[in-house]
Amino acid sequence: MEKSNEVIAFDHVRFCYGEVCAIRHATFSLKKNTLTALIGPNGGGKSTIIKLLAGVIKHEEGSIDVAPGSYIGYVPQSAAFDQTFPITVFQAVLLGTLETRIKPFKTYTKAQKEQAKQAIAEVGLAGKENRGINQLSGGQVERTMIARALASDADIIVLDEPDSSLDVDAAAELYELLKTLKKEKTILVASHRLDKILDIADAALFVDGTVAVYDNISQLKEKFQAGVLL
Amino acid sequence: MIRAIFQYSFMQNALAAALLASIVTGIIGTIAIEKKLISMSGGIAHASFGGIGLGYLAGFEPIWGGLAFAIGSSLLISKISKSKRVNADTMTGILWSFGMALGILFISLAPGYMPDMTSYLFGDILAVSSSAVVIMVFFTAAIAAVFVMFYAYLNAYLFDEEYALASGINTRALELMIYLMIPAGIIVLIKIVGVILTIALMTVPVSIAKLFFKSFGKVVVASMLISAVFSLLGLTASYYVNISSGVCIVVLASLVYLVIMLTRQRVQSRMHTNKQHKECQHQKTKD
Repeated sequence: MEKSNEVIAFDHVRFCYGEVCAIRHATFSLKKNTLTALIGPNGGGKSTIIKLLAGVIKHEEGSIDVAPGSYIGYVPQSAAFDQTFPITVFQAVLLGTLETRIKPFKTYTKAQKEQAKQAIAEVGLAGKENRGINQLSGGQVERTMIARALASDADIIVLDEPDSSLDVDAAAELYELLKTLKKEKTILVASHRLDKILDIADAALFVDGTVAVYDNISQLKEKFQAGVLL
Repeated sequence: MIRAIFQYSFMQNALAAALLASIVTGIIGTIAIEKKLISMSGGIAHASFGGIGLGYLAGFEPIWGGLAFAIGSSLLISKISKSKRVNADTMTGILWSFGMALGILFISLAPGYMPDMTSYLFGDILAVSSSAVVIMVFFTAAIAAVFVMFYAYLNAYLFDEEYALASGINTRALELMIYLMIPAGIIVLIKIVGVILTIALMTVPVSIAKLFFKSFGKVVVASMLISAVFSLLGLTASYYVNISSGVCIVVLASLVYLVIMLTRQRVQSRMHTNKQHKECQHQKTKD
């Protein structure tokens, strides 16, 4: 970690699916308490970067450094989990507090339950704790998944296209929530909705096999508005 | 029939078998449905018939052969599901028919008259022996113990495997647990509903429970109770009309599921219409 305010640093990271390399020479860093937009075409490698950060897949070359004491909370794409699964909002968020090491007869402590309740309140779902996941709207499901990441005590949250299946209003509410969260968390969010995500981002990474870093968002917005980007 | 339960040991065995099978149904049925392993479970159940046939040919307890084939198939499908070269669904189909064919082959090769395999194919709750009940108790206890011990982690894994992996939970160990619990559970169910009808007992009670409950634990317990009701009704029917217990249970369970589904849809659509009507009236009063 070169600078004190960096919480994540990728250095020449490469990952391939068999013979097809999704990303090569990916070098960038994420600064503490900022929101970075991960943008780029489909198949460009956005989800690969999110999954590498979450630890779902392991990089082949280069290095990924995470600041000591930092913990990454993962919010997968809604298609990655079963939305018909019989689970309430509270139970789903509680899973975020689960210890990594498998312990027989695990029961949740009072503190873990309190942590889950706080996370639910933080994403604006207080009062909906006992609703089944399958009774929620798309926006509420995304909020539940964010609450699960918050309940895990993560200071870095990575989200894989959380706005992909949301209508305009639900997406606007989600961006508002992310804007609030970035005051205390470092956020990396993959999105296709450039017009909206760039409004709340502090930096952006354009991914298309390699990573281009944009610390100046207004410059990127101008490119997007001029139709140069994508 | 109640008097018969007190009088005859075969009825006591049948009752014990029905209740044990219900516990297994609630656990492995819910796991298989939530992990989308129903088709694989069907493959395992049918593949186990090869082991049952081998037991007849080699002269050992057929259920142990069935268990060995079921576990072998389950682990093979688990391994293949990670391979990009072979499709796990295709392998399930192959094991499904290969196991059945092997079973018939082994039984045909066994000396003497070909035994009646109906009880293994369609289940015969009234023919469950005391030694079979002991085997069923062992497997049911093992499955229930693993499920209770690791409930929180199985819940996390079944709901969102990718998140569990990202959190650092040993998902491989949980996967292995599941791929061993399913064949062990299938061996318990085979005695009641047979190789061919096992999937129905694994799916119908869970599907009914899922219509009413929104928590994983409640679905498991409700599935056990629903399965117990169907199994006891199947046992009663089997006792009085002398038809295979598996057939009675599956026909009854499937009909009940269909009736609940249709009734629920009608009630829900009526409730929706009433709600809209009330909202309309409320709006008119306001205007």
